[in-house]
Amino acid sequence: MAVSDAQVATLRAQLAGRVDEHLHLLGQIESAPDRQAYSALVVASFCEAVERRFGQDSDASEVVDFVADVRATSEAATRKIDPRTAERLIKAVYTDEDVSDVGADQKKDLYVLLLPALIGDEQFSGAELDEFLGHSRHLADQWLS
Amino acid sequence: MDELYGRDMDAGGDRQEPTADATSQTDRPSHPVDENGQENWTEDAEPLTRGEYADQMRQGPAVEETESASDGHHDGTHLQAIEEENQTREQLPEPRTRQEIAEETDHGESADLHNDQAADLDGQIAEQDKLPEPRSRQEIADETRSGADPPTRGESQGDQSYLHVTVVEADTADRTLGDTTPTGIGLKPTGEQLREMENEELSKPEKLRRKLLEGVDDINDAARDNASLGQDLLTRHQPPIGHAMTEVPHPLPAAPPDGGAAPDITSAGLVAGVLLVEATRLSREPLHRIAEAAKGHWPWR
Repeated sequence: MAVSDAQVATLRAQLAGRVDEHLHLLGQIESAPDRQAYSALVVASFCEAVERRFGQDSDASEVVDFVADVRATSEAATRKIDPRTAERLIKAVYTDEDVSDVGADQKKDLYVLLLPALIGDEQFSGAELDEFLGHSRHLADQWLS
Repeated sequence: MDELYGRDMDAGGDRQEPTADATSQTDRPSHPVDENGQENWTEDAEPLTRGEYADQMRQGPAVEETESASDGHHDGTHLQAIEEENQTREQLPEPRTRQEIAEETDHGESADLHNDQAADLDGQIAEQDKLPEPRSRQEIADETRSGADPPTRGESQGDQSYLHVTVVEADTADRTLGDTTPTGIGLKPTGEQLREMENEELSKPEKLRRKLLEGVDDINDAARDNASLGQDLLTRHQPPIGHAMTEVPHPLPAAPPDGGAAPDITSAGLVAGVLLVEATRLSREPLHRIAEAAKGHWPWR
């Protein structure tokens, strides 16, 4: 099993800001293996984005500031995003932070909310977004193989 | 003068060399003399070796002897000085070992001879002397074969610098794979140890998968539910699309100056001329045509 082009296009539509296209393509991912592959692509993109934004040398205060900035966007964001869990999930990418106690549903919500926030700050061009998704797809394929 | 000559004559007749004559001492080799000023040096006396002479020169009393000799007081000879020096050396105690010094320190007998630094050094030496002799590999192997459980050095001394070794008796099945040595090289790892070893060897992608992807099989529902909020977060720092409309007040036109300007006078003259021509032409037409023209009928066109 591997990530398909249609799944990459679905995530690309979301990260490019085309909500309708994203939802349309998302509805076409029906089978369980396809959903699992798309989930792997989203999580891999989250890891890639966190690595680019924070990396190994970042200070813990940068993560705190980022999460606070994201939560301050709207009341819905404040309600949906638990700051401590979000910070732990980000730090789990590049540290030994253990997040085994975080539930799967909470992880899913944070992935689909923190990923566009990270990509929005990067201000990617079209080519840069494709390059980013290429790296993410490679990691997801490693997980799925 | 006579006295001088007389002295010279006496000196010349006797030819007895004065012992205090500095010039004659310089020309002749100095020999030891006794209390009466007679030389007691004999030819069969052993000459000083280079080492003895160096030792003599290093000693203070020997220098004093030389100075006293220069003053003419030959209370001691070089030979006597050497003999006394040798006797003094023979009377010195034998050099003590470190252990003896340490024991004296413990009994407080030689407090004047040792300072704190020496005491510390002796204490370290005493501790090292208490350590057991290191055993050879053969001795360790023999003890292991005999089934005894000898205490390791680290256990017996409580020294953290030694490796703690635990010797256990194990069946062949409990030994690690490929272990055919008589004493064994180790036990099979337990399941917990295997899992820890596996975690240490995991690659970073695999660690990420286990931490972040496990349990997240279907993210579609979460993506659909949070699509709008995700869009807001994506564009939260982006400027709005399109051009912003801003009201800019137009500058008011300048008020015309008093009096007509040249363009206004020209325009007024032109309008007046056109009106005059039309009025002249209409005045030549009959009145009924003028009336029809007023109704919108233009029969001449």
